[in-house]
Amino acid sequence: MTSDDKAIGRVTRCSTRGFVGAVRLPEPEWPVFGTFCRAEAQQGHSQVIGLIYDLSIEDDELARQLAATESLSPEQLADSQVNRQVPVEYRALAVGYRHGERFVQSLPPQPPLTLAPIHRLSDADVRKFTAQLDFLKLVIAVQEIPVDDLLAAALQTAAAARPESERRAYLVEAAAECARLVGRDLTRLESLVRSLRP
Amino acid sequence: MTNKSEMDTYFGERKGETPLGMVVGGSLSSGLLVKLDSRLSIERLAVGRYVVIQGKSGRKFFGLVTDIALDATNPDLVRQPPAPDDAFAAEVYSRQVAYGMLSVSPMLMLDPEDDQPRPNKTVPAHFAPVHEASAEDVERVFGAEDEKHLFLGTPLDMEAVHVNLDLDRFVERSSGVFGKSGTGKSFLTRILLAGIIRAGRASALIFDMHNDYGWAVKEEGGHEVKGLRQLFPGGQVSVVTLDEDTSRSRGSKVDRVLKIGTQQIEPEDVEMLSGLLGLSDVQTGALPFLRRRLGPGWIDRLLSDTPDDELEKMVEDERIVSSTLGAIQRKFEFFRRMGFLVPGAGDDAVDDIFRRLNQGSSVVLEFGRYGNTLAAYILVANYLTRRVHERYVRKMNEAVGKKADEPRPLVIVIEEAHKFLDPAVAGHTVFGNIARELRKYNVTLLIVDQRPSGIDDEVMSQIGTRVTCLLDNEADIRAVFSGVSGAGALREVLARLDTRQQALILGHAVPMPVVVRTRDYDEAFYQWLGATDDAGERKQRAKRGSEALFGE
Amino acid sequence: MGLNLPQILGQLEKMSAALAEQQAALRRLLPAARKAFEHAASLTFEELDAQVKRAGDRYRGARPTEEPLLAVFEPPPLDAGLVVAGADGSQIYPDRHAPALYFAVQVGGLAMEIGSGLPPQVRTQSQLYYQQEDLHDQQGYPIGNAMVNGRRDAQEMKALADWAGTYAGRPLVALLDNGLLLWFALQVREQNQKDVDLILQAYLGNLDRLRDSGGCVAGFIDRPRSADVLALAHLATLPPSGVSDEALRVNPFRALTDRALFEELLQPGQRSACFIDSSPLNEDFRKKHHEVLFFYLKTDSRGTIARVEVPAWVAKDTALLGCVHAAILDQCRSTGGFPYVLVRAHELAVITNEDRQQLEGLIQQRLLESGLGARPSQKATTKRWTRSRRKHRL
Repeated sequence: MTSDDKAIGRVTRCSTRGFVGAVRLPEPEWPVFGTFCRAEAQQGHSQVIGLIYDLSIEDDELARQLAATESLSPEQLADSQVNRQVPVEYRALAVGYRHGERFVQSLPPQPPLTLAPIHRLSDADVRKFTAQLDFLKLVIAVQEIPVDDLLAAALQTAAAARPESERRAYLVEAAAECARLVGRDLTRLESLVRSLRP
Repeated sequence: MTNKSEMDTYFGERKGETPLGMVVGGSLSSGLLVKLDSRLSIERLAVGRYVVIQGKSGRKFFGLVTDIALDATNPDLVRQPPAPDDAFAAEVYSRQVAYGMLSVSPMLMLDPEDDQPRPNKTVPAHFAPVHEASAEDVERVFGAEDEKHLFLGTPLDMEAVHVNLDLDRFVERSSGVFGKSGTGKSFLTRILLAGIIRAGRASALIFDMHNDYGWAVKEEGGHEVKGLRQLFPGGQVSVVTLDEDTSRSRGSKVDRVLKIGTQQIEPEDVEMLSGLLGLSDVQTGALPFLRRRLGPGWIDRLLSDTPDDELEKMVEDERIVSSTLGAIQRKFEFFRRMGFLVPGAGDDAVDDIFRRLNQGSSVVLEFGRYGNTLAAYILVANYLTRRVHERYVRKMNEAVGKKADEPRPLVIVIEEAHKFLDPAVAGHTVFGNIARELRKYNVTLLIVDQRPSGIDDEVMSQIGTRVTCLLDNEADIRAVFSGVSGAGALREVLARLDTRQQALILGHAVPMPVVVRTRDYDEAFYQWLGATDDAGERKQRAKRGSEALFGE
Repeated sequence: MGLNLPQILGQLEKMSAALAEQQAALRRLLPAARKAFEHAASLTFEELDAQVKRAGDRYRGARPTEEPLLAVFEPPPLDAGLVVAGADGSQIYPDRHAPALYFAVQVGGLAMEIGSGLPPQVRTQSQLYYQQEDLHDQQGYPIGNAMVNGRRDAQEMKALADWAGTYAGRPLVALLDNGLLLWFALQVREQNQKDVDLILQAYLGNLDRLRDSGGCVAGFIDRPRSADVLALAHLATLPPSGVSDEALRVNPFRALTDRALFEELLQPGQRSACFIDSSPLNEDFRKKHHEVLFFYLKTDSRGTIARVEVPAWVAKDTALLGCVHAAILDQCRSTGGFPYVLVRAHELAVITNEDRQQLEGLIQQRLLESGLGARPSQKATTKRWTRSRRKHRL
């Protein structure tokens, strides 16, 4: 649970549709595309559940300088790749919220508080949240983001939070729900289903 | 079924049971479309199964699965299916995009306040859940087995359920047993007849072309099964043979030998043979004239080798063309080969048979070796039927208003029925008349045929109950369904019957079309029939038998 | 409201003209300065030393070592297996408008094993100061920023000593992003003698630890503005009799820096001779055997001059001094003249404005939770109101 409890940044900007989190972390600790996260809203009475869909590294002059130099030592390279706390900004799509112990898969009534800490959703909560698949349609409805890749990543994350024996059944169910939602476009469905294969 | 609580259980709701699917479209005439629940395997289903549809209003519908199809939400799927080795994609697609569709022919409906299902007049609302009919559901539809209901077989995959035929309704109108050869028509017919005889609802006159009904019958496998005379040793069945030698050599008990005096044969008896004997219209047309001029011994005289002055005179007078007469004489040579034809006035065989029938004894007319001669079969069947029918008509007319005096209902069983009922002759033969006049004179037909398409449409449409084994000829299938509404859906069912021991029953004697695996014609069946003289004991035995068999 | 650019623009033009004029004046001055330095170099160490002694305690310039003034030194080859450590610190100064009075120091450091290919080890140490005695001096007045800086500098040295401990027995060069002398001590010693002494002793103790674990230490000052060597050159030009406070004050090279001088004298990679810092504070260091010496170093081909401070025990040991020289040059190769470990140490240490806001948010929250009323001053609040925010975009 320790890794779940550690904040992965704070909310810098937000709307009911989603929020932006920022953090300085070395690469191994960056949040991952398709990670479920939570951020407090409504004075802590609820938590917005977000799905991280865009990670960007903020402007970093040192990296630029090092990239340009010819005499970068192996230790410096390793330092940059492993140690450096790179400013990471990520966007999370609001896919639901938690009210008490209950998860609701619709847009939250209010965005999270600015600077609210953002946490990874624990495996148990991921299981609980993704037991329903209504959030898929919230994701699919979004424009201008790589929706299908996000769906695949999110559902693989959700599957990974389950015991080995349940994963395939879960992915089949989830993919079937995707099929219901994007069944009109078989080419799209085909690649989506392929990326959901266990 | 008047009890309220029983009513509630009629096609009861299936709590906790997954529906097969839900109604998504269709019409009363073309049948309902049911989208199959993705969790069920389409491969588990079969045409001919029953379903119960829970209508929104509380009304329940009973239907028959008539077709099973694969469908997809996206029609492009057929051009763009998932990769063949991608089991995951196949599983996903089959949950949502691709699904199974059932065509369901709605058959019966039941209102909450009704105690008996009625023929369908409407369809269930959209999205009504569809359940597989349980054994209890089907059992209720087909009623209980009793004195007037014959257990004929079990619906497919429901061994515990009995499909019972309403015998009164069965004999009330002409019926048919159809199916291509080798599908077990005669077994089925034997079961039907045994049922009719046991129930005492009617007498049967069976023109037994291939010696299938009277005495021991060899099955295809070589196993010997009992004939009706053995099953009913108490006098309910008489065997009359045309060929004493064959009957004796088979060890058949014969109650009477049928001899027909040539003088008893009328031109009308010969007319039906014209096609088989190769008589032209002119020649056939000359027969009544010859009969009139030559008198009752007309056939003997035509066949006589000694010169006949009168015949010569007729030719001289140009009453008949010499070549025509010659042809008739030549073609009448056929009668010489028919050993059952004896010169002279013959005996009282027809009266005897009528008497037997009217006293409640069914008559199996064994043709022995003559069964291979279609002309002989047609001649005799036609000869006897005309005369028996005539007596029935007379008796019915005498008994007007006096029910008790009415002759006992009679079922005349003919094989190769299309020979008697083809459109060219059906209009003016006694068989055509019987089929058309319904039960006016208490006589109906049970026609056994492998080529129903050869039977006159009008006659076909009068066939009340049709018991059909596998048919694969399109025209025959069409013929079987002539005059049946919603038949299109049933065609698929019929075309997919097994070759043996499966039959589709539809019409007058069953509440709805049903595919059955017909009951076995075996010891258990014999036991049920209780082959003993003593009626009381017979009943006892029957009861015990049914208890043992069906655990009532 | 933003900057009033139309008003500023006019002033800007005058400013650039003035700067250009200054630059030109300095360039005119440089030959004379160089000449003076060459003159000083022509004197013997004893003559020069005597002159310095003549100048007495009031002299604020470099003192010569036995290395000739004009000598330049090429870097020796870099030791294989050398560890280079760096430390830097940052701080949040006490703010009386904040929800609570506190200050914070954060020191980042890393140690890099040259030639290993391994990622460097990284450490960040943060410390919150909130006790009354931390926040007030001996007279009970709130402490100033210098005190905070002092604590920060001491923490930096401690971090370096810790690295040396970690790599004890291995050749190690510890770099500090600053001079080695604890300048704050001079600034606030009066008000807070006791604390300053405590800090200074801890600082010197850490220098001991560094030395004792076999490492060496250097303070790296980028773009140094000092003119210690020029002061020495000026002093050398004075006749022995003319050495007076007055004469020392009228230094004609005052506007120039040592940097300008050594830009001309050093080739890339070369270091100058070592000089001794004549700050009175250095006396404290000397007493503890950490007298601070310095040299100038041309760190890259673009001519960047850095001032490097080393304790005497490094300066006197040719091997150690060479090691420092070579290590700094190696560190500067990829970063355009500034040691990589210091770039990264700064990055690890820095406390951004956002971090500070977060911290204050947390402090406020915790105080509220424990039932203590805490809110920023109205002034701080109003400032926050007017700070513009970006819109959230999705």
